[in-house]
Amino acid sequence: MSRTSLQPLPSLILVFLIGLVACESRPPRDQSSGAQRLIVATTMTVLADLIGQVGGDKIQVKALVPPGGEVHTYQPTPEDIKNVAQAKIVFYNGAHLEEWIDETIRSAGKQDLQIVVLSQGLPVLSADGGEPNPHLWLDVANAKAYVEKIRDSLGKVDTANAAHYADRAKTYMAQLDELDKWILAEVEAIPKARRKLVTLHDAFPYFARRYGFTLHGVLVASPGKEPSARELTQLARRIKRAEVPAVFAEAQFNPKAMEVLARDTGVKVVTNLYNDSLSTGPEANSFMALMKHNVSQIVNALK
Amino acid sequence: MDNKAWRYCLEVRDLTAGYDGQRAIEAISFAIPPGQIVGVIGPNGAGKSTLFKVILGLIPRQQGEILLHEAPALSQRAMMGYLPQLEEINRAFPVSVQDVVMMGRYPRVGWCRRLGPKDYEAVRRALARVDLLPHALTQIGRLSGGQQQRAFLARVLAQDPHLLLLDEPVSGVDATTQHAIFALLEDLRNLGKTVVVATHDLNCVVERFDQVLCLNRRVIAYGPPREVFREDTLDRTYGNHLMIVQVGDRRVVVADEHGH
Amino acid sequence: MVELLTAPFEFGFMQRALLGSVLVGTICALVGTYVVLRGLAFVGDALAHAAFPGVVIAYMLKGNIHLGATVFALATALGIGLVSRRGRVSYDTAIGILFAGAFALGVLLMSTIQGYTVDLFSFLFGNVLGISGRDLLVVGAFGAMVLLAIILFYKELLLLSFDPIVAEAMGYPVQALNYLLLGLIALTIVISIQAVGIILVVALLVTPSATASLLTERFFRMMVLGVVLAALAAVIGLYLSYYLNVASGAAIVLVSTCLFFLVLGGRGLRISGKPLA
Repeated sequence: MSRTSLQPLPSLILVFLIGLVACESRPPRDQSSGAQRLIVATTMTVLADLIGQVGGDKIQVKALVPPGGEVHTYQPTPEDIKNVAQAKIVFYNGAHLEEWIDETIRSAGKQDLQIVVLSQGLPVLSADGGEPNPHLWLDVANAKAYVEKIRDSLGKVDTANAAHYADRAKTYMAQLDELDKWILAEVEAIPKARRKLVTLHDAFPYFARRYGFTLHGVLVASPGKEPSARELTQLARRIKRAEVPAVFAEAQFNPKAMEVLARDTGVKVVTNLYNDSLSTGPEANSFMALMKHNVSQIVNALK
Repeated sequence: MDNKAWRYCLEVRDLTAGYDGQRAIEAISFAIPPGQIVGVIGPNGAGKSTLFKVILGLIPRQQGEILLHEAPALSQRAMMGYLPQLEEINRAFPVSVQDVVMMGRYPRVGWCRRLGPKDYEAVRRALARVDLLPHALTQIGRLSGGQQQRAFLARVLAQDPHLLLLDEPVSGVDATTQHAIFALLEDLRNLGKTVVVATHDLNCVVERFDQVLCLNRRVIAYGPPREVFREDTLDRTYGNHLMIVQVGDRRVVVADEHGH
Repeated sequence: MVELLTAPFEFGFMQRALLGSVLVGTICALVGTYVVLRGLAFVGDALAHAAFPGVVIAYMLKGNIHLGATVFALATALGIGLVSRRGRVSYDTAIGILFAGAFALGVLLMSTIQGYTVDLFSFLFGNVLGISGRDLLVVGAFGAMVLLAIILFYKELLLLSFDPIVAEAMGYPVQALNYLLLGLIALTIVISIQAVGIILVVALLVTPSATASLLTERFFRMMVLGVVLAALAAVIGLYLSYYLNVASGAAIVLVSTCLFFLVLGGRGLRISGKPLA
């Protein structure tokens, strides 16, 4: 008759436990098996695709974050550490995208592990003097720089197949050039005044700069942070004032808040853009498909 | 129907009950005619409270029958008013004395119905009977122990049952209140109610009660106090801890060692 | 001045957030009165966590999240009653077993979903600004059910809460009434999860009623005061969320907490405990 105490601690422990268990016992993400293939680890499925394009059947890539996983807030599992320990070389994006990677690499405790930070050396954008924005690859020019870095790094670790990597990289970069041109052409279909982006999280500044969009705000400043009433109201006002034709939500987030915002401001909503992660379905299962999918969705919504 | 029309108000036949397979009371049989005050006496652990709780259906019986007006008592529990020995209530509970007494009216009002003027009148009368009318709007926890006991008794009165089961109604109250309560019980008897009182105060039983049930897991004796209160009966009920002393024409029961 | 008051409510989501949080707060305070008086805060917390597997299953089956949460919260309410009645297990032990078990089930199920699960976490924290028109209808419908039950069984629930032994002696089906109360708590929690999430829902359920219990010595007034305090916290919390630029659900809960300590402090200052009302 006298228990009225709140129990915040058990709740928090349980939240922590979900994190742990949620990451447990996932089936292996890479089905290919080869005897002598170079084992490569990376963080995101997008990077795994770029690496795979360069390496072909000479390498075996393991992406730590599964398709649809949220890379910013990811919690690595023991299996991830094992994967890193087995790899000869690790690629990650950097620019504070994978805050958890350093510890994972340290836990793997491998002395001769090659570590390549793909965004290193490339000019990064920062929001109002804040942290760098990590989503460089959504500008195809940056993706090409990633591919070059991948080619060189693989060639250095696996000199026997360096020519093979150079060859494949050349072919793929030609395809990326095509993609870049295609995007620029597609965007032409949108009237200049309507090339405005509002997205759920801040993933599109490089894309916007390259392909001529202006950014008019994001719903959550950083993933996992609940927007305040003020932020949401200000965003709604900006959408109205700037006459933004549509708002976009990235597929790995719950689109509900974005849908609600779109309804209240009377604009269209698209809820399946991809950026950090490839799709499990066919619509964006490679970097090339992802870019084409995003551009088609954006053009359709804004034109 | 009027309580007086029945031969027996309460009949208990061969009743055995207890917790977890233990038998707290065994093979209890007795019958109480309407309009009587019956004292249930016995040492601590004799099963007085258990007997009440079994009659009220708070503890399941293992064997036997309990009849109220010749029908199973459990099907007419609203006819039985109960004053627990120790009200385990939250003293800070936000209800007034009047609210508590009103709860006695709930079974009569029935489910999903509102309380009417009749109920408020019954509550007022019950409060007046226990002399708590000035405290009607006081929060229940602010009353003294004795006042609280009277408030709960008033709840039983407001319920207007045929059978009252009062578990230690006078323990912890002052002598004046004690007398007032017993006078009240006599009034109830005169109205044809049947009152069963578990008590430690044997002298009250001698002076005021019609029947006494000596209980020590089994019925040791049952009958008018002057017949039942013999040395050997009390010995068998309490062990050897009580004595009967004749003072003039009064018999007084005194505790030998511990007891009361 | 008027501008200051109306500015936050320019858009639909804020109007719905206001209506939704006031509604949820009201229902919570009604049910919370019983929760506080019977010391069932731990049960409330347990039912909130137990709703989680329902949310996950509904998500997996692409079904209605509210329905999933309701089924699991109600099933757990039933389970708590059964386990504690069955055995030599105390009430809070039974609760502990079921609540952790149900929550673990949610976690386990979540681990079987490939990818795209991150926002199941949003149910742990809730988002009052994301309340849709349909959510409001659900809250309204559930709220009406809870209110109706409280009106219909007002006397019986009061007696049950004050003196369950005498209630049983009078012949009331005390177990059924207990289940009814647990069911009401479960429904209330389900509609509150949207607003403040699983972790903060207990605060909404207990704090306004606890504050009200400091202010009055009458049951009905405690209910009404609880409702007023909850609505007040919702309104002030939303304004704070707007003007101080902070998370809405947490702001509402913290305003409620502050009101509690203000009243507690105010009581302490006055000379020993005469009631206000």
